[in-house]
Amino acid sequence: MTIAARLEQKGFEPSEELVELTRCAAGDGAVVSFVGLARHVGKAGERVDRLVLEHHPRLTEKSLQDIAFDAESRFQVSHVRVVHRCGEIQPGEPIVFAGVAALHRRAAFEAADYLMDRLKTEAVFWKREEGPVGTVWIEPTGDDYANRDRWE
Amino acid sequence: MKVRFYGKLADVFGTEREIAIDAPCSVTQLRSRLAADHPQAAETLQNSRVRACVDDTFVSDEQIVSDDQVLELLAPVSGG
Repeated sequence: MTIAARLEQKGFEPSEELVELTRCAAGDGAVVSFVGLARHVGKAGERVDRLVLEHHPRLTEKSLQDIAFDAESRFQVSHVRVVHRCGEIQPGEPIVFAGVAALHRRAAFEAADYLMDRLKTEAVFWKREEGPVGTVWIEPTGDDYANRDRWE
Repeated sequence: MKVRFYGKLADVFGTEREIAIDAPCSVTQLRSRLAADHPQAAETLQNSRVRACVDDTFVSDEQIVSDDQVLELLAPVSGG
């Protein structure tokens, strides 16, 4: 069993994360992964030039690890892998990789869904979009909190 | 005491500032005082999703903090 959660200051390659997770998953029957990408447009359709994720020097990485450990304890999964960017992210670049390996697919799907609902609302980042219209802080929506609360 | 601000709170207060307190007070009292002094941040400061931390541990609004501690106020967080 492996649980890996890390904060990336620079870019990362999601396909390499998937290769590594799949390599660890030898003997398992399922690997499910999610990759979140920075969007080119904001909620109101405005152009976004960059996404900036501020982080806390200690609490951010700890929050990623706590969420990954919780996923492993809650579901019948063998491996959990979370990679999350911080800093300036250009549109189209990956923000997050959340991957899970398990003996059976249902647990892998559910654990990946759980990881993203928790990361969206509890990972310690402050996210803002910057573009021609200025800076907009992005916070979880009511739906994001409701999705997270499904698991309580 | 030293207070650190994160996210959109840092837009108003800067990342760190020294707040003079005469006696230990609760996080709620400190939030109210900051809100009174900076009305433009009052709504954010009263938001229950703004969390307080001492020594890298989340604390409740009833937590008593003293002058020699560092309080961190975290605007609502969002990853993914």
